[in-house]
Amino acid sequence: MRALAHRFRLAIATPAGGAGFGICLFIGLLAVFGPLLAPHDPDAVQLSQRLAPPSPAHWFGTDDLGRDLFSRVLAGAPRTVLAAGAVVAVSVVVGLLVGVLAGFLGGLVDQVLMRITDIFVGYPALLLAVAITAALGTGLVQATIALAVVWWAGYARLMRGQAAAVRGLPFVEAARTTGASRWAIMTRHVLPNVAGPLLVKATVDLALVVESIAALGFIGLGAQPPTPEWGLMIAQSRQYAIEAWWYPTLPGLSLLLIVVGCNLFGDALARAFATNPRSVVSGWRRPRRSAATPLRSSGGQA
Amino acid sequence: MRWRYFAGRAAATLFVAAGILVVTFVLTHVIPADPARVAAGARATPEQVARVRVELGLNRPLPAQFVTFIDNLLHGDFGTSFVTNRPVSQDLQIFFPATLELVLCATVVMTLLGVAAGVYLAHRPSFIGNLLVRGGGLLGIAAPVFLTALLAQIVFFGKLGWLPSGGRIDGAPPPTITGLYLVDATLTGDWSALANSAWHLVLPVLVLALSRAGVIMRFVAGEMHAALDSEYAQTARAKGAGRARLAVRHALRNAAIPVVSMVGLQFGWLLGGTVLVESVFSWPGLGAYVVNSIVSLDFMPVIATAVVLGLTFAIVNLLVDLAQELLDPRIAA
Repeated sequence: MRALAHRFRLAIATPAGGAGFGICLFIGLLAVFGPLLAPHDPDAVQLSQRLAPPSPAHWFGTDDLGRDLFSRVLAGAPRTVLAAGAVVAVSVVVGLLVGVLAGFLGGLVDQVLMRITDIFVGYPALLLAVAITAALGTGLVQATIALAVVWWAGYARLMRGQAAAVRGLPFVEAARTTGASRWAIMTRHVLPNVAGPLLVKATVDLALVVESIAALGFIGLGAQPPTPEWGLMIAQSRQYAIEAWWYPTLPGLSLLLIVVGCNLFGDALARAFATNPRSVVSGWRRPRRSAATPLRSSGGQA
Repeated sequence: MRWRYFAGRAAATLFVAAGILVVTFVLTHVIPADPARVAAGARATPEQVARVRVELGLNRPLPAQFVTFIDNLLHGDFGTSFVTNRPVSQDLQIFFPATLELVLCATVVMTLLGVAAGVYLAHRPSFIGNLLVRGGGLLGIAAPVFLTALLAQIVFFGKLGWLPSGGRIDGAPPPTITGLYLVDATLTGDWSALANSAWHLVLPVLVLALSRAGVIMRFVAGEMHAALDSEYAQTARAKGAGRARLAVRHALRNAAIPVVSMVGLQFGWLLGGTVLVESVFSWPGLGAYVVNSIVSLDFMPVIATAVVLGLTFAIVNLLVDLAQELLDPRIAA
């Protein structure tokens, strides 16, 4: 854990990483407290205020039913963040399980698990999710399940590669000769070493899943009206977008903010984990490093 | 050696294809509580549902259903669409070329833009140039495709009126040879149709291409940096090679191999993105077809589209592997 915290500090010490982390934190807080801050009821229809431009009363303007867009964007935040978090969390757990088992046990288990993974990786994710909503029906929950069914495979493949790479290294061999059980080797030696790439992928994926949820809402397969979901709001704005620029733009900017934040932070994390070329760290004896360790690019003179 | 490599890759592709069939079967026959109800449509009476159940053989055991399912697919029989009232295989012949034309054009534009921007970045441009190109690329990746599509439509059609709002062509399409309007119009010498369909392609293709060009850009820039720093590049420089010769003949050539596989990966992403772009630009392709079918609970088109697009991606992946092998014989060894 200490090694992870160290990388984390390295990541947020850079301007881009710090900004990215700040944005992620801001969105997280918004998801928790946002609905409490909403100045209006997000579902209150007020036809007299139809398509009103941004003003002190309605910061983001109103939609075609006179509903306050600022309140609706705030009300959408917890839904989006929760759904995306669920998809990534399920994917990480399933992918970790499948990937580490395959990479560490090898042999027939590896073959079977990875061929199944190939099928899911070898299929455009959004398309498969669309096909799954055909079976499950439309709705935010169904869209979340559909995306989780699709998303785990990338993690399984990543984890398998990492686990297989660690498997043959001397410290794992050493642990095996000292009689460590398979479980101990997996949890104490393999897992700590795959945590970095896993964390990086999860951060960047959060952005992709947020986009995918909004995309499914946009084409009518995700959240259904009157749910204040960002993708759906943008879809509803389509016929009014030319005269009411604020209607699609502001939910869209919120989406963009999440995506940019996650990408900045993810990139910074990736750089922080790549800082030391010997990023493989044994589970039971981590080298002590101070935060002042000079950053060196992994390429060197090679 | 080459043939063994080829056979291995082809076998892996066949396996993925088989997997796609199993997954679509599970999605349509196992997960829904009552597939007959789904197949009969939302407004069917219980009698109609019962009839459909027998008609489609949904009352038989699952393994037997699976055999029939595969048998039908192998014969190109995808059932009938309730929305278009046509055999799904006929619908596919209309909608698939539209999607293919869009995605292929987007792939070409994405690759050209990405490689050009990447090469530019590798030559240590000025601060402003670096900021503009890199920032533009990243913004393209970050912006949701449907949002860029919508904004592009508002600006270039709604405000400026420069480009059409959607569709593939105004008036009659060129006679069908391949179904790709650009190709058909060229083959039949129908230049006005060629210009008109190209005009309609501009916005959807640019929106799709820009959403992924940044990925290629970053990748090319990284590869070019490494190549320009290498010893062979220094040797070439010492022998007096100019910047252009160095970039094109030495660095880009070596960078090309991983870039090819990167483009292949992005192709899958573009296939997914086309669902969104088609829905904004009323592009009569598979994406719009599948979304309409799902919304009206029409099942057969969804299966067909999933199979066709899945196979397209699998075949493109195979081609990419083979192209890489041709470019770099070390891979198969």
